[in-house]
Amino acid sequence: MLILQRKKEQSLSIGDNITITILETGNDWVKLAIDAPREVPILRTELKEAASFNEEAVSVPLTESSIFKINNLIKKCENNGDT
Amino acid sequence: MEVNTQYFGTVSCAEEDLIHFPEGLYGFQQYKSYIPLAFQEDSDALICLQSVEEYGISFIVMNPFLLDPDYSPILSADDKTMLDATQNEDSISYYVISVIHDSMEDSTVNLKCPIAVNAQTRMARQVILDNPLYQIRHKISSFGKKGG
Repeated sequence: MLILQRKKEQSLSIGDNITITILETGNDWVKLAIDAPREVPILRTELKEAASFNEEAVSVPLTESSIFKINNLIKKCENNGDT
Repeated sequence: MEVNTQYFGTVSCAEEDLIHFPEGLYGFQQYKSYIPLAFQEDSDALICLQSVEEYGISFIVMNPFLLDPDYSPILSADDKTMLDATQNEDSISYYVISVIHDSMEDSTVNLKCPIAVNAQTRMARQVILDNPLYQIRHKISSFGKKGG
């Protein structure tokens, strides 16, 4: 992995067609401007991860035994909350 | 209406029983309406969110506050506007999507992206929380352990 340090208003290029410029920075955030061809998908990474989690969720069916186990775990949690 | 479901056979339900996701869920933007079906009557601990549009699409969701009483989701201003909850959030309920395998060690819940539902309007959105403590793949087995 390449790690670069850039200042505000500086930019970097990826290949011939993509330029990323640092617009603003705050305490725990940066604002970026991304110039890329329309056909290049740009997604917040957590959106991609959320989508892949959802795809997994849909493809793993619940079984009788997993329902039993998960209900036991929920009961355990409820008991912990009571004490 | 009658809905074919993955876990409950054919279920008849009314329009007001449905939950609507105007934007869909992440990766499943095309499916907007779901019927919540509880695995145990009168309990929201374990619910199947069954798409009414597609038999093969259903999510197993859990009440996150039963797993972790300290769970504290904070909605963004945009989430509140979309859910019609800018004035008060009393009618917002939260559910977390789970992937439950036979082995609890492999099973996870997505604490980072809960489903927020306005119980009054039946509108819902899968939100993304800023809190870095909440993970997309949080091990279910980590719950229910404290105090033995």
